[in-house]
Amino acid sequence: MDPGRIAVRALVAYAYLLFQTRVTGKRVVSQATPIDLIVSLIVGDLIDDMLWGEVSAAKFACAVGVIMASEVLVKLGAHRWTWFHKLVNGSPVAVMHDGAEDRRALRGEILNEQDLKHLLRQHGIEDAKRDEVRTAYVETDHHLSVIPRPDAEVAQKEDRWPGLPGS
Amino acid sequence: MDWQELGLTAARALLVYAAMLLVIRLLGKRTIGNFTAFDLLIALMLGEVVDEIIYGDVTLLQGFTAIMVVALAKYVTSWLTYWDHGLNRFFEGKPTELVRNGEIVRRGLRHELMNEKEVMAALRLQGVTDLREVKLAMLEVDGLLSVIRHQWAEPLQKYDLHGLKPDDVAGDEIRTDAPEAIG
Repeated sequence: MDPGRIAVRALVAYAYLLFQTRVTGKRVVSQATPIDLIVSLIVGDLIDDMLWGEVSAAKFACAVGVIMASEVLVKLGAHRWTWFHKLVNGSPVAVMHDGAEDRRALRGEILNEQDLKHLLRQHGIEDAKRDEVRTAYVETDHHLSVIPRPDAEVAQKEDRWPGLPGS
Repeated sequence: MDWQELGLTAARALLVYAAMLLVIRLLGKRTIGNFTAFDLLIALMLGEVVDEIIYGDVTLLQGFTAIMVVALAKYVTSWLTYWDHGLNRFFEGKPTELVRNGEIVRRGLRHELMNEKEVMAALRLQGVTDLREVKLAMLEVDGLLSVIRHQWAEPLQKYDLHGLKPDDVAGDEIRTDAPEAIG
């Protein structure tokens, strides 16, 4: 295929993807969850065959449209029904209670002691400070969230100056 | 325009999407994402095999065999690294110390091919501008820097304001018999 047609196809593909992402919203092609990442990879993968003229533009538009529409429908369903959200995304798992790790829960996520240490380090928590953790969850986006013991929470201005406006 | 072919393309795209959703749910939260370089590679691989399936260049059976084999291999590796036996190092690498006790660890920097400016930039992202505050900074296997601060540089916590030193705080309760305790 001559370069001129490739240029036209590239521009058309670009415009179409821009349109699709604007229509489907920013949550779809982001890396918020694993499936979002995969969807953007799939869409990126579908373009090149169209650019080199191996498939028609109609076929490309159809494939991308279906992938994006499925993603939007799944997101809508997850937004609407809690059970569907659980089915698609799984649920957060508590892996620490009162400073102690829950080995069974960790195992369920295929995380070992080293992995937990790593995840806690990223919150600035070393082993000696583990007892300050009340609960830790592995969230559905595979990040760890840490809820500290009430007295180990970050201090607020109010703790030092009680009676500030709005408190 | 070949409407039948377009319909088939749509059906195949739908199947591929469903298959990917299934694979990701089965592999669990940590498996596909930006956890480690290897995890990202798996995601790229899975994303890269699908165009031939959707456009009908390979049969559905061939396509799904490839997807399932990659997913299965990843699942097995996850369990192998869980049981460790040194495989963790092989598949994911190990974290590298970049700063210890306020000083840059040259060996670590050389190992990761980083310079001091890059380390300082990574520390700034964690809100640290003064090296002395850092007790330990490690480049983790997912490429992010983790920072453990010296006790004196940690943010204030509620118990600090009750006149308790961190060492006086044990378990769930605040020790009220500590010398400086005011209740």
